[in-house]
Amino acid sequence: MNGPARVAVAAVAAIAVGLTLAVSGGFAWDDTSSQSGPPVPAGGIDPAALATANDLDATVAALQARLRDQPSDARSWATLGLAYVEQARISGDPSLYPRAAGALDRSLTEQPEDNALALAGQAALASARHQFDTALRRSEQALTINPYELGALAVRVDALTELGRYRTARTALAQADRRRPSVQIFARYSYAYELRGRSDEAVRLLERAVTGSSAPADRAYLLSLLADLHRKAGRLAESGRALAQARQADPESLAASASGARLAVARGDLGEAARRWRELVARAPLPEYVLALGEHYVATDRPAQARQQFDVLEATAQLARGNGVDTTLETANYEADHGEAAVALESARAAWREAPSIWAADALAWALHQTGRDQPALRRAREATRLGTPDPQLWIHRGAIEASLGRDAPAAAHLRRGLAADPGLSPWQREEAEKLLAGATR
Amino acid sequence: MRRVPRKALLRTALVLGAAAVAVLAPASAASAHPLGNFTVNHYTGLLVGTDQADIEHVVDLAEIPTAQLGNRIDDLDQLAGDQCTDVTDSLQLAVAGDPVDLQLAAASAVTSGGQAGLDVTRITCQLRGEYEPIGEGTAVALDEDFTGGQIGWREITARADGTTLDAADVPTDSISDRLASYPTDLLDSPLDVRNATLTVSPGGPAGELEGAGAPDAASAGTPDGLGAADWMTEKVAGLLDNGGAWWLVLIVALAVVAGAAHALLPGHGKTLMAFYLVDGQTRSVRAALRVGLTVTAAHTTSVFVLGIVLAAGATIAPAPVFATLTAISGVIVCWLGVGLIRRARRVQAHDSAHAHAHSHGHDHGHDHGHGHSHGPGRGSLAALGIAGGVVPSPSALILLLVGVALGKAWLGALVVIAFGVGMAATLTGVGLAAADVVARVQGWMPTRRTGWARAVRLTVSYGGAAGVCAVGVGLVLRSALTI
Repeated sequence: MNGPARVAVAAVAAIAVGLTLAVSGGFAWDDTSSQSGPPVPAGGIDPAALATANDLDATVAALQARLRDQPSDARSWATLGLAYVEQARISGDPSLYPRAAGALDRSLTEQPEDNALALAGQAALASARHQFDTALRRSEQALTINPYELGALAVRVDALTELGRYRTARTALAQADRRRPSVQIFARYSYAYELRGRSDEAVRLLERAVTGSSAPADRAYLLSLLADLHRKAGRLAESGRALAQARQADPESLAASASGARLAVARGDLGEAARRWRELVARAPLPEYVLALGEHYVATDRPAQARQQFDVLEATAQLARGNGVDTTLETANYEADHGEAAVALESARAAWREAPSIWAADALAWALHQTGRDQPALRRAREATRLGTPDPQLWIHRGAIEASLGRDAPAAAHLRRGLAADPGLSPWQREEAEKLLAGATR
Repeated sequence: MRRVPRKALLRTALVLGAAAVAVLAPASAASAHPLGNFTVNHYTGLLVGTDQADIEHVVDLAEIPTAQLGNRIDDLDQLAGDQCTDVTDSLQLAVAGDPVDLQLAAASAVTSGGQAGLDVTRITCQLRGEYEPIGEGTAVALDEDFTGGQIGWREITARADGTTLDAADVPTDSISDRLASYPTDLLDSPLDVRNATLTVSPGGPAGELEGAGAPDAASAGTPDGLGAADWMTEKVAGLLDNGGAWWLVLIVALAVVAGAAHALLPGHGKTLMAFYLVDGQTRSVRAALRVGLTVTAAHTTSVFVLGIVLAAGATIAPAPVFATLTAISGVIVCWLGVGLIRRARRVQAHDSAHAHAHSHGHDHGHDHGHGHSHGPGRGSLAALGIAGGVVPSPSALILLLVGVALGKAWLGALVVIAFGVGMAATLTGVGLAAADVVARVQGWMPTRRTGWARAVRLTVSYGGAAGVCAVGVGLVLRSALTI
């Protein structure tokens, strides 16, 4: 053998030996690290404290600093991921989702086994992105590792509820309450009661959750929900008080502003409502707000301005489809009322397949009605109202479908029920419902 | 060969380290507006002169805010004028406590294709304000007060023009390249800087705004924060994706350059090579080439083996593999270092013997030292090459895996070999250059085997040997810490 050839053989041999050692060593190290349990760093931030942390931004900054120092701290990566999800929920800024996903993946790379916290974080992220199937799967994986993981317990309830599995959700809620009674669970209990039309219990539990919460943004969010409940029950003064407290806790709260706009409608102050919707749409053009502003313009006879808002909704739907998400329930509702009924039907069917909740049932019922299929529409509308949820749209849609089928008596009853459910109902929807009611009682 | 899913690739990249993430992450996140579809992002560049300030303000509207513009998007000049007037009203510049009247000098707007067939908008405003010539330590403050509270990136930078910034709480360079490429580091929150406070004194070189001369649209180029070598790797990975016969030559050439650049990064065998060849005093091109060949063979083999293991779906953690290989390379280097020290001692003894025999100050022939040729033997040259090449570079590994994932394993292999050739070229070149420099210096010195010249030569010999030992011990220690 000549020189270079011998050199090459020597190199190959050396590398083969090295890699064999390294690979077998790699397995051995992995085994020992998972046996010794997850490293819990001293001075790390307790993820359970996140929800009650007084300043989420400060928490995020502290975690970022810690991870620059200790980049292999799996627990801090998971907590940071959860904190990004929280920030996104509060600010409505979706650019935080990829960051959250990155941090959670990193946590799982650092600690692939027994990482309940990162799985719970992935569940929360999926839920925030409306991927409820994934959210349910991840939360259950997390609970297999740690049955007392609060985040996973809460997300499991949310996912089951959004997937329309209300009975299982109820069981999951009771289980979560037994294992970790806390503010997060009270708020979810409250929503479970609200869905079933038991508003007084809902208010009582929400008040308990407000008392227990200390993070300003969280407090403002819970107070906005409370204000909604008060307004729907006709207690406008209490609603106003809750909103004043919410704005005191967090002047930037989007939920408080939206609730304030609906309260203005309930008080008959349409100018104030329009001002608030415009401000919200400028700050965060979420479909819910854009639709509300567009319908305000329709009701006040400004079709050009309404058209402009609806164009924004079309762009939102186009983006959602571009992202592989078929579309949101808001855009399905918009298409059924102000756009193309055929598009609405397609979106609503997709939403129903994905998550057969009462809201998807309602969207599907309405799209079927708008495309002239009233019999199947009524079946879906009955499903949508089966829990007795006091939401105006669910009952108005059911009443309208019944009116279209010529069943005047139940139509009138359900339209009245819907009109009474919320004095903050969008003026355009109120007008339409009142016209139908007049027809049904003629 | 089995196709490696993109996800698995990304996972590998995450483990391989930050450099790897910087290469692959931008490609995976290219679809959406990096900051979300409904953000409105602002950048302000401030240039402080002695009696005037220039401001460039860029507004980047994502898809939904662009849709919210409605038919205003049809007249871009009007839109730019309106938006820049708002910007002018929202910016407050104060010099020495006095507000400066800002005038709009130019406004322009361009749209470009965003996601899902929707447009995004970029508006650029040029503002200027004049004030009394500043004195020493003048306070300059910039405040932004945009109404609406929209979500988005907020960034301010400041530079001096004929002045000096004594203190500034904002940087001189934009980390988003003026809203063209948003950083994706998981540990950075989106920027939210809405004011800047500076202390400025007159006198200093002329300066210009960061965006001066740049086109309005986001300019492609080397993104900030990516080193030249990483940028190169990214380009090669991109080209691999494209295919096409004409690209082949370019890809191979780029891979050679990437390999050469990679070997220039710190922590490589260069220093080692230099020490070794310096000591050997052999400026033999053949020895250097042999080392280069071994480096290429070792590196290519090592990348191939690891690449095949990873591509076959083995769940190994690359970090310990790297650490172990680094440790092996460290042990080889230590062994070489010890060999060098022993040789240096032999040379010393040999020199003393000569000095004794010719005690009458008779000079030796200049080529005496070389004639004995204490240069390194073939075995140790091979060891040197292995030490320099056995640790696979993450960049090369990624290139190979990208090739495999694209179903073009042969192309990946070709690129890895070219990468190794580039590395070898740099290492050999640096080694030869260093040896040449030392040989020249020695050529200027008297060749007597006593006195200061001898002391210098001994110092170089022992110093080189000690350097090699230190590098070896360092490698072993570093890998021990990683493990």
